[in-house]
Amino acid sequence: MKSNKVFMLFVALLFLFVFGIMFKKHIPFFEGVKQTSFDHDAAYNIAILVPVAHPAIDEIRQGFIETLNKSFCCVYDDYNANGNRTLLRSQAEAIVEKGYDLIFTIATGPALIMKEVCQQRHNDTPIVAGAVDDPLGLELINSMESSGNNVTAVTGEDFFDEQIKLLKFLKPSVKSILLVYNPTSGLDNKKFQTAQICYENNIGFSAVEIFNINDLIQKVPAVIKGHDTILVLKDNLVVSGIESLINLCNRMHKTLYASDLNSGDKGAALSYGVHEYDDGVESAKKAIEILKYGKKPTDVPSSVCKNFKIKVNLSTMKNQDLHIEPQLLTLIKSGETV
Amino acid sequence: MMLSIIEQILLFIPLLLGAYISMGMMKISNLSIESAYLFGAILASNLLLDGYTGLTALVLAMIGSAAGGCIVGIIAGSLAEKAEFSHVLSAIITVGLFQGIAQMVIGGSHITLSSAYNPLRYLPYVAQYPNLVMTFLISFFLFLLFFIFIKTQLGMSCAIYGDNKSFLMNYRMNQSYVVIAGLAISNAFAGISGYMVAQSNGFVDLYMGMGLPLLCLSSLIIGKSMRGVSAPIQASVPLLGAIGYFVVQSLLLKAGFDLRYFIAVQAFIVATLLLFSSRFFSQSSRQDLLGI
Repeated sequence: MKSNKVFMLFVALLFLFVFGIMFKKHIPFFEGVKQTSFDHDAAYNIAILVPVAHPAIDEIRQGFIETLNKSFCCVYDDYNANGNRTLLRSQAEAIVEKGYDLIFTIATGPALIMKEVCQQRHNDTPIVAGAVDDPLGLELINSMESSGNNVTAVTGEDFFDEQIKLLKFLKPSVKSILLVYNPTSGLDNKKFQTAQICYENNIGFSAVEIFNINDLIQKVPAVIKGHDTILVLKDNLVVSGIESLINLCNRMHKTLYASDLNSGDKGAALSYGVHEYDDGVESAKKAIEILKYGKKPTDVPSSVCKNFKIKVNLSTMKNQDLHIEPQLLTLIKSGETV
Repeated sequence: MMLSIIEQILLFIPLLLGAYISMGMMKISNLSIESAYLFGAILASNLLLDGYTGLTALVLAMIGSAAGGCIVGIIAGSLAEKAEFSHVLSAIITVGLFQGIAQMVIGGSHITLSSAYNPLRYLPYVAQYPNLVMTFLISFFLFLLFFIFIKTQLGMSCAIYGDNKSFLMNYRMNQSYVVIAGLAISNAFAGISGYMVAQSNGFVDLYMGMGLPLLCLSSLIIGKSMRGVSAPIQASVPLLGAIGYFVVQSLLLKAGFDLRYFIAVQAFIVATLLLFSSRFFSQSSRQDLLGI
């Protein structure tokens, strides 16, 4: 009986200890939608709808908020569907009901669902859709110049030709590229494009399909021999496990070439892409045109974020068999290096 | 707010009716329901994008989505009964198989339905909720079908399979037929729900089925707890489950709750409901594991 009481006391203390560590800073349960009642002193109330928490999405959001805050005072309500499609729909409904001045969506799914719910509810709240893939093909907008509805979009574009030519310029000895990609993200077309460009540039090409992060450790080491460069696309799954590829490339002395600049910060010897932050800045510019100058979303042309940059990681480049001449490195340094 | 909750409940009722047949009555952990939901949406969308309009489009969308779900159920059931895999394993294999097929058919990650005729607007509709009337009629019709189904010999056999499997064997009834047909009907309902949700959202998403078995289980447990009594067949459970699930979700959203923690709250609510229902109503509801 006594030992039972001691055990119960131990469990209670354990719970107190664990909860104490978890909530020592704040109680986070009511932070998701940061402002539920409207702030009348603020110039504008803006809803931000994201599908899931992700570093790239956070950067876009940060770029949007920081740029907008330079122009006027806004209150932002964050809606995060946490990867749950049912919840995404409920949040879209809640946003329409609350009647915001502007809706900012990040990624394709939230943009499509928000546009549909607004149309169904006859609500013409302006929607700025950031980081959308193929807005024309998905009929989110009618044309890049004029959407014909309450949406204006910022989309990304790939420049594989430039990317591969740049690799050949910086690493003339490149003979064979191994593409690591997740086919369920709709990247098959990009794989074929890359393969075609490699073929045109006399570079060998093969690809390995990854379906979960564990595959990175299991499949890539088995096929990496015979390749001197590992290429990664803008692929959420592979990028989320980029550390294991960096370790592998450091160990096997292969050049890791990423298509997002964050991977360059983490240790990819070469990375070529846009700052996600710039996507948010571009979206904020559209929001300013709508809110400050009273333009309709259809009159604000959609645009492509193409501020591409090359990043060289000086600390890993030698380990990853990338040798760039000092004068060339000085030139790149005037751009950006880690 | 109220109408949007009603619309969401109506969109998910067919899914929960299907889940109730396989998980609630047959006690099979039917994870393949997420593939059925997606594949139903894909087939119906492909038919609609061929340019059909009016009543033809409505009928084709219903038949296409039900057929899509049905085929997923038949494969999952056949793997379990004919190849003698466990239900979880056969469902996992089916989900894997149909993920590839879905990707092949979609050819990307989304299919947009903007340019296709919307059969959910076939009848005169409420201005701000254009899909509401038709969704109500379809869900009502499916509920009637479900009601008829549970009175049939096959429906009864499905409940017997879940309640006392040895009964079927003792009376030399064809267990394979019951499982395959039960899963096919269950997944056909899920396919129709998948199509209605896709039509209401305006697009089909490759990942739209993700996490649905959890939604179904939570809703059915909420429904069973609200119903209180435990019996092999309770037609009101899916309805009550859908109402409970979406009302809680909307209330949390309205209260400004951080929905990153929604799944944790959902787990807490389900545990609390199970605890209270077993205390206040009967012990047997606590033993109903819905096939898990």
